[in-house]
Amino acid sequence: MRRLISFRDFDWVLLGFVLLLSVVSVLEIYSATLHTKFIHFDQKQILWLLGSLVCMFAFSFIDYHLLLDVAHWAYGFCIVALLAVLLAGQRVLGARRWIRLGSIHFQPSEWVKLVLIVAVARYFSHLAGRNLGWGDIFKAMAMVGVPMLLVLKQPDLGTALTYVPILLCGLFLGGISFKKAAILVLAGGLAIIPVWHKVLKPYQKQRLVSFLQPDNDPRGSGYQIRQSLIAVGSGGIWGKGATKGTQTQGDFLPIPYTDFIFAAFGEEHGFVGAALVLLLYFLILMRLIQNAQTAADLPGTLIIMGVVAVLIFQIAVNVGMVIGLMPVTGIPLPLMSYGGSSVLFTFLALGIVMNIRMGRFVN
Amino acid sequence: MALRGQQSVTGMNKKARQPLTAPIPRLRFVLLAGGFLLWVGVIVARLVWLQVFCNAIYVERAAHQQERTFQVAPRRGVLYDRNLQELAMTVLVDSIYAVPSEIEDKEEAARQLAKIVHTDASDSFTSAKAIDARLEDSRNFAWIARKVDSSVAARVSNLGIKGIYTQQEFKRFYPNNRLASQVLGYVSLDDDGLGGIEHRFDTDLHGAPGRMLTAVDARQHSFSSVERNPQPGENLVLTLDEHIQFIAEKALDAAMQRTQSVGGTVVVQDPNTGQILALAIRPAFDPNDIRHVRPSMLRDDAVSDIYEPGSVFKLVTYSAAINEHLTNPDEVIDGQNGKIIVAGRLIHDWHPFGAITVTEALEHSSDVCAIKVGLRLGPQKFYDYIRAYGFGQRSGIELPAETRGLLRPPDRWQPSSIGSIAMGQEVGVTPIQAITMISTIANGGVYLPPHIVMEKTTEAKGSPQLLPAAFHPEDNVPEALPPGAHRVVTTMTAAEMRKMMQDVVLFGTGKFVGLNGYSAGGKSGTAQKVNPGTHTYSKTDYIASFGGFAPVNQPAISVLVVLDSPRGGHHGGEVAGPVFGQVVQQTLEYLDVPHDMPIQPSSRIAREYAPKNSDTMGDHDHPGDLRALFAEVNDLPADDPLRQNPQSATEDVYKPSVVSRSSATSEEDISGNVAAQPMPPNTSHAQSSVPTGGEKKPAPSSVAARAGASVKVPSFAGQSMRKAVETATRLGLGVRVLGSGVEREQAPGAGTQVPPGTEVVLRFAR
Repeated sequence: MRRLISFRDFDWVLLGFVLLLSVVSVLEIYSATLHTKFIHFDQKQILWLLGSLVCMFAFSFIDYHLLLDVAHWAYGFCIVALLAVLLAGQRVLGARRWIRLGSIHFQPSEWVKLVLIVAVARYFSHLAGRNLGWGDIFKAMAMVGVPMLLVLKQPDLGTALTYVPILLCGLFLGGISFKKAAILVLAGGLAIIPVWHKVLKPYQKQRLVSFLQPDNDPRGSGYQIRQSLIAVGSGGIWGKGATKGTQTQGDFLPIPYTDFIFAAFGEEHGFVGAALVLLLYFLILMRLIQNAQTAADLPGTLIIMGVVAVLIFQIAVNVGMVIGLMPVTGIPLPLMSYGGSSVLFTFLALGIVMNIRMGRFVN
Repeated sequence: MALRGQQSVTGMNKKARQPLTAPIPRLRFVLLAGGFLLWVGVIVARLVWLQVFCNAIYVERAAHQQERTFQVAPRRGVLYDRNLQELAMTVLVDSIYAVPSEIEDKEEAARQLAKIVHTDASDSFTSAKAIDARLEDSRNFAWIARKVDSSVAARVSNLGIKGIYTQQEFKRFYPNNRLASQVLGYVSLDDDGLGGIEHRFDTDLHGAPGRMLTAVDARQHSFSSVERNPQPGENLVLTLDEHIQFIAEKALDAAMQRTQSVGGTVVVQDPNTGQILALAIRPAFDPNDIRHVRPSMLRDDAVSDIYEPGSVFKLVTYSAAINEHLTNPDEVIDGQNGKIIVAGRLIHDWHPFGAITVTEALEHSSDVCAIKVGLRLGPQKFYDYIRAYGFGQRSGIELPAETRGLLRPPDRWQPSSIGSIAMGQEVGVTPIQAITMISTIANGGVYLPPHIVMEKTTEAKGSPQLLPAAFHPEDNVPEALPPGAHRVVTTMTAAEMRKMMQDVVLFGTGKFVGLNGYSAGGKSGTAQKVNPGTHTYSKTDYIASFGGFAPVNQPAISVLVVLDSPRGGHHGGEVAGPVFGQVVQQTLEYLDVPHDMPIQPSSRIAREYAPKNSDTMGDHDHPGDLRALFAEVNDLPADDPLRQNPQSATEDVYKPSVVSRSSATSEEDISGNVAAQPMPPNTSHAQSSVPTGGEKKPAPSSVAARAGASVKVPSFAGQSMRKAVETATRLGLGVRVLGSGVEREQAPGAGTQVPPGTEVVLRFAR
């Protein structure tokens, strides 16, 4: 069966927004690393972007149904890779996240995201039309839960948490009844209590609550939040100007080119700049949702919505953290934060989205 | 968005793949998008709150975080002598500090650092243990070693330990090392004056610390700064003359060694202004090496230590009595064979004198005669004169910890006290009080409060507002008396006293003075020390002193020599007299005071006063046959042209070749005698220095002499700091000194022609 692939249907508007945001990102990385030993990270980021762009175009030619067909194999491979990381991974800063194959460092947990999106889409599209029973729900939870636990074990809380929206999105769009959804929410809420008391270590708890009262411990766990708030707050309406942010340039703001890049941007470009970036995100996501709705089939819709869920979650958590509404979790801001894996994931996901969109008029 | 329509399209096209069934209800998309929109709304609201409403708070917090106020040490004021030679100056040196949080292995780092900086075992600050403790103590800052040599700093930076930095700090530097150390005092590591002038004028010298407003980043590296400059300390011009000071110290050192005295003071004063020209105090210390300064060394004995003046005090007794017309120099007084009973107490004279004149009584220091004259005055009148001479009160000299001395009012005198005081017992005086009394007689009877600080100024050397005030002997006390000055005795009384004091030098206890070509008046004093434990007079320890002035008819200087506990002879005339002579001789010649006495061959002097005086008069460096050569020249009449360039033995004793007329012998004499004679262009070695006419030779001020001309910068390579500074200042060049040790680098380079006053930067290293 031949599908008509037409670049007329390639979403140039979406790509335009994404590239615009990427340019903003590169400029802010340049500014934030100007006086640090990470200078020239902006150039590295450009290389990553160019490479990822190529990958995106390449992926946009791969029929997503092919991906759906191999999803169970890919899932199995992911589990093996995560186990391999736990057993033989490189220990960096107390966490095993990387596996070395030859000279290539490989972080499976990033790829698992992509695989999970496809696998969940495939799973729920098979259940399409049915009312989800508890069995279906638990199977979906197990499917996401196993790799999540393995990543938590590394430990990498931030990445593990990004798997949750894939599951929730799948359940929600896969047709879970509102009643079951309410029960799940309730159960999740109750589960927090034992997790809080038994599972989390004191430093983790401290980190999770310090965003509520950052001034209580300005030197310790509240430091990052506090500095982030000062940076954002002192930016004012118009900002201090590119490369003029005293908190960003002065090394007060922690990691201003990755996790706290939104704070750096907010300081240097003010409320106006931050609002424009948020607008760009909003446009990108709305465009993605529209693409999901116009997808040729249900798996296509579900895949795009999985991507949307991951992006929304990351944006919400990262920006929430930067402006003091959420705890510090170490989740980067997609399309803004410096980092090759993050860029690559986003663009590969976009590549799949493009393919889905281009196939919207099959025949 | 026409969802329904599009879905229907999708529905129609759903043949390709199974199983595509029920479309997702629109409500779910709306809920998702709505949830996201809500979140965006919350974020925007939060941003508005932070960036618009709370902006001011966060701007202030940011500023508070970035701006650190640092105290910037001001440059401490310079201490100049009256010719603007630096006695104490401030140089830049390296201090080493650490940012402990950047150091990986603190203990190892401390061990390695201590190996380099811990050069002195007695210095507990730089031991490995102390450094390690400081590194553990602070996250952001810890001193490793302060004010070190540049070589040490270089070796430390060669270690390449992360988190170790250097910073330049001011260090007090005394170019002349021990010279006038007791007067100048010294400063602590933090530039606090701890003795002498440094202490007394600490506030003025210290200046106001600058507040440096620096924007710093979280790692304490400043990335932009707004600086409020520190206010440099004021400079002080002292009345001291470095060369006279050197003369005095050299003479005192020789005397200390010869007599094994435990202490000593030599004061040279301008009798017509009260200015102190030299104040030499022993024991001295090296203010550049304060770690080894013992607290006991830090006493300004000239103003804080009192001694019993002994017979020197008879000057007060006689001058008061003469002034009151109760006696005259020619009156014959019965010496009573050396015995007198005062208020029932029998006092023995040191020699059984018979009937002698008052002049003779002073010459030979008869106690009985002095007591009899004192009794004529009566306690109250006598006390008034003693007070008028400045005893029993602070002179107000600009030195710390000055004492009043010991002088009881007459109502608390014992009946026998007047006798004791008449011969200089039962009173305690400071050397400054004593010299001021002698100056009063020397200048014609006017008490002039002593001073050691001439000027407090913000100007530095080289400024047209600050010119060297070379010492010229004055003819008279100024007509309008300065504050605190008052007449004590009449001009006539003072003249009669001077005549009597000249006889002391010519025929009496002062015959050991041994001046050549100058007249002098003086008085010896020998007092038993009071044992502080038993309050009785010591049998072995004496204070030997000699005070006087020269030349007699127009005193240019007055000089007091005090030796504490000399061994092998303790009579003031014998022990302190020759020191007085040496200082007077050399100082008058330095000042080019015309001779008022025939000049004797030094061989005869050597013969007459040998062996005692050969030490003081002679120059050990010259072999004997040279001395004969000098003597030949010295025998010539005073106006003989040859005499204008004599090589008198006495002159070579001290170093400053610029002031010496024997410049031809000195290789290091770069400036030559540039001051007085018209200078041939490009000649820095003026061999024959014929002072023009009868003029007094202007001071050896290089700056003034060189104005207008250009100066060739010499090579300072390998010179000591003191030598280099001397050379440069003599040429009229400013100096900026970096580091310590011997000269390694200079700018501008040797041979460059520069205008006078140009600052030459010299870097020293070991």
